[in-house]
Amino acid sequence: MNIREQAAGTDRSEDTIAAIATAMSEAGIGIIRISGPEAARIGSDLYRSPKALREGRREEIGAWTPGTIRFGYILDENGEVIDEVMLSWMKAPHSYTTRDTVEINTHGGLFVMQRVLELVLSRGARLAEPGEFTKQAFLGGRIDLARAEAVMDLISAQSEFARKTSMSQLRGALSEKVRDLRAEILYELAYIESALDDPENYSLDGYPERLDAILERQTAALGDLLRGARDGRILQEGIRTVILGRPNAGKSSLLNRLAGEERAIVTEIPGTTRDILRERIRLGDLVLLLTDTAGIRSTGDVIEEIGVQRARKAAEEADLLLWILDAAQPLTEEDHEIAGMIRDKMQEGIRCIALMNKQDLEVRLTKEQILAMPELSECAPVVLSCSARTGEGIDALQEAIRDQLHADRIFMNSEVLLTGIRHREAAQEALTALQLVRGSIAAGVSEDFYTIDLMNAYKALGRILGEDVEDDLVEEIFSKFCMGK
Amino acid sequence: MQSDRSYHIQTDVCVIGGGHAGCEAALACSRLGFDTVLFTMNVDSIAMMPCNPHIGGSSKGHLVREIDALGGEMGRNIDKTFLQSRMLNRSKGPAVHSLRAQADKAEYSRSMRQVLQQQPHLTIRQAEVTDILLREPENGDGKKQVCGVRIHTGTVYDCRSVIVCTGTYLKARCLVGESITETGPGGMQRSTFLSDWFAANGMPLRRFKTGTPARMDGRSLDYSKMEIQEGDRKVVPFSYSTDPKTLEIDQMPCWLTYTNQETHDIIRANIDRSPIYAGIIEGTGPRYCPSIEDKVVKFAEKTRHHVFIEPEGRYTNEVYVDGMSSSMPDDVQQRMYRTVPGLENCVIVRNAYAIEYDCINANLLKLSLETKAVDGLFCAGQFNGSSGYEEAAAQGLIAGINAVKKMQGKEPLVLKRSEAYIGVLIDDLVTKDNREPYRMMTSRAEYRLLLRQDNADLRLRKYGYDCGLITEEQYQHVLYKQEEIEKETARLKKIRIGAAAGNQKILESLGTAPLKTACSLAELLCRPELHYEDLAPLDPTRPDPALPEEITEQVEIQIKYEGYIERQNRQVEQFEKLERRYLPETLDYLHMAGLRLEAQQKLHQFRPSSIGQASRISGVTPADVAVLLIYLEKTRGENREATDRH
Repeated sequence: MNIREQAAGTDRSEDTIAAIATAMSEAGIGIIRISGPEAARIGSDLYRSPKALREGRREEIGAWTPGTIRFGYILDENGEVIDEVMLSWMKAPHSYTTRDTVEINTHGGLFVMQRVLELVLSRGARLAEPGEFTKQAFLGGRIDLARAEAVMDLISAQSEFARKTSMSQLRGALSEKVRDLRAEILYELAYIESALDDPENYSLDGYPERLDAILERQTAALGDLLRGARDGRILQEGIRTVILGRPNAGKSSLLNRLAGEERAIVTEIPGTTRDILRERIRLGDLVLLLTDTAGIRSTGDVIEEIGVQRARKAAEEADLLLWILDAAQPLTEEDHEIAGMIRDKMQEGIRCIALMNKQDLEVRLTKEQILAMPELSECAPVVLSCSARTGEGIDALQEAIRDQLHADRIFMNSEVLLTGIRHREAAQEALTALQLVRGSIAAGVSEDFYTIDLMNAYKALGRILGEDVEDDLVEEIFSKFCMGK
Repeated sequence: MQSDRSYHIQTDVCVIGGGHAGCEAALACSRLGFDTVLFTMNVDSIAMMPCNPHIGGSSKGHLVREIDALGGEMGRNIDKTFLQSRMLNRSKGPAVHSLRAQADKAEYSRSMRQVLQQQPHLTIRQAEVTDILLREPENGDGKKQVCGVRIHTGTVYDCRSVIVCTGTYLKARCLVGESITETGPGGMQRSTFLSDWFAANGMPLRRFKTGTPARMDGRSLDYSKMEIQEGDRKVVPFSYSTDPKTLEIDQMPCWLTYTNQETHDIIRANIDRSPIYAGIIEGTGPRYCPSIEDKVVKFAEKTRHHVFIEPEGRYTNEVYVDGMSSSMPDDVQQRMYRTVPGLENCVIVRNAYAIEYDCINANLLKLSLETKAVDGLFCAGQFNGSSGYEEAAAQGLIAGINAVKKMQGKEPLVLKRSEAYIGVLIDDLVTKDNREPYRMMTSRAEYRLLLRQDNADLRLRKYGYDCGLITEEQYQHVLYKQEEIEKETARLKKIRIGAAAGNQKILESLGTAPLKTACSLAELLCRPELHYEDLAPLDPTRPDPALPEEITEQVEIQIKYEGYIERQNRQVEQFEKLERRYLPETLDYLHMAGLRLEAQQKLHQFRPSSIGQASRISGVTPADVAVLLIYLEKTRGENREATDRH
């Protein structure tokens, strides 16, 4: 039966749902989760312990002590063993989803995993929508919104490092940091209110200065969180990488080399113009969101303005520029034009790596020549040699990208990362509100005005934790839940 | 049965209690043309002020202005009978400016009684109500309906609405140390019967407590040891209908002195004799209006507390000792008061005492102040668990208006938290879990920059007009005022002045920085040191004759605090979105998937009117609110589908 048709049921809140709960990978280890009132029955239909298999009988999983994990086999319709599994049983509400849950840890690879899922669905479970387990957990009061969203990030995380950060956010690091900030703001709000209502016992003498010092620290902390948000986006979406270079410098072959090396093209998203193509590729443990520009070319003596504009536009939101040069050719006018753009972007803080391609041919360009370009007198990119055709230098490129983006800092440290657009916006709103309070203090406005913006900051941070619910919030969250896995 | 022999009197509304809530409720109903009887234990105690001798103060002043804007009486009455008036917090922003007036207690009460006695459709009856009479439901909703009250003589008043405003009288006990009397406030006779009636009708009452300080013979005090507190030179009236000229009276001063270590030592040494600490008092007292015992225990590190000596009236020598309410035994009171500078030789006329009384848990009420259980039964005032004259009067007015609306078959008047302190007051009482007498405070109002005492008429006159308590003329004046404010604000934004030498000189003389470039008068007005009047020499097209101050004041506030007001308005927009998500009264919370058990039960019990109100019920978490939102979204979708199919 078509899986999509199954998913399009009607009344769904009491359905038993199932899906592959971990991202599919070639490694073949994965978990199939079944959640809902029929979970134990479905699991019992398919599972046999070694003893039960020998004795040819069925075993009721629902009778196990909740929290038990056991070894055994999954049988298909004909009673044939199709995989060895570990099966765990969690009884409502003590499961992730707060409903009865059976998890089947399979070992047999992607094909077997899909086969087990099909069997589960054939026994009456409905295929879970993306994020539906988390939705159940949230509705069951098991997790707060920040955690729910971190789980969503986990589902959509594209790389191993992203998974690690998602895990740390899941453990509540973000919640904790935001909760601390919020508690502090609440204290100050309460203090001001107390002083207004009970001036005899709570004095505001010298208070503005005291509050300003607190706010200075808090705005700095929020600034850090927001900078972390950029890193968080890199983790979640990949490093936005723009390839620049004149035609025939070897951009396409580099692209093919990068993409082909791992055979890991995940998506192909047509860009805004037909000349720009984005591809998500995997380079070791990094994910690059590659934008290939059409190339900056000259017709006669004139550089095509349109190509430059497009490249600049693409570079606007880049985290990294890859500049491909043809090492078999001397520098040209176009290279100088590109160097000018590189300089501008580097001055904005965007990282750049210059790649001298075609090392397999007769080399007529040196690193020194590149660095001697007048455009690059003030800021020089890292210059590497490579050959897209032979694959020489690709490992070095990966290392350079890690260095350039402080990838180790981003990926390895436990700093709190704000991922998710909603979190970034809320944090930005809180920051703006606290800055307004500092403005009020500087302007000598009476203390009773502070509370308006302090309350806005408090509420904005509350939205990150799901402790402040606004009308449109739930819709927003659940539209996110329904986005792709 | 007994009713066969009972004498029956017909009326529309019975108001039980003649305190500040009862007076406003009775006046509202009778002014709207409904025959009303006000029952009081004693006609001489109508509008009595058994505790402090002032009206208004922080946030309570706002309530009085709002009562006046809606067509209530309290503001007019205090304007007629005040001894001293001050606008508090003038150094702070306009949101926390608050009017407070000392009242001549006897005059206040007498004057209010006179207003009641001159009011058509209103009669006063001295009697204790022993029973509220109900009849079986007529409608399908299964609720019993009010049909009358019986008084202690057996006489029955047939009516359609009953408003209970028993204040602190029900089963009251007054405590002075070990001495306990079964009396109401100020030694008045207490009432007893209605406690049992409420319990028998499924609304068991709770026990609250409050207290008051001693009254002293003013001749025995040494004022030379105290700081004098004079009234404002220019008195601002509470009522929009009071002519400010009538307020130019010879004001009486108050006096400030302090407790000291010796006072606190005496209290600590005798704390076991305080009925509260000895466990004799069962009722819960207000944290925000603490007795001196509470202050000494809770703020142990403080070496002194304020004590204000306030006059009780022009024709009495009694003074009120504000800040030192107590329930200590008389001998401790005598010694404790005498440690305070200026009170060394004080003569106590009336002891400080604590009072315990029965009141209802206002969670049993709707936002209209009608009980959820009985149709036509309304409750207001201290009986609802509030404290303070102003809080009581505000509820009385709203209960009166809504009793009438109910009889007229109209929707009740429910003021939102974003519209009025009265809205905050009633929403808090009805929705939140209050375990002590509720006192209004500015901190309870989330949107206080919009709920200023200076714009109560602009906010609320329309509601008073809609229900008929505000005249056409009064309403037209507010519309005119609103229009003029908008016109003048727009004009000041448009008029630009340049950096010419003449202008710079004027600015210099006003003590403000010169202009760098041309700017609008509105921009200049944003400077903290400049006021509307200051700009006259720079303003060539200023209206002539000059606009009245009530308009220019609003213009200045609008312009000076525009950014803050805008941001607060946005907060209100967000807030009102959830207030507008109405929850059907028939929702089955007990079977709503996803709600936690506690939330299911709380919501089932409360039946909140909107998601906004639901979110304020204690025990309902944001996750529960999210579930409700999803539920509404889902049912809305289903309804839409259902309509599509038809």
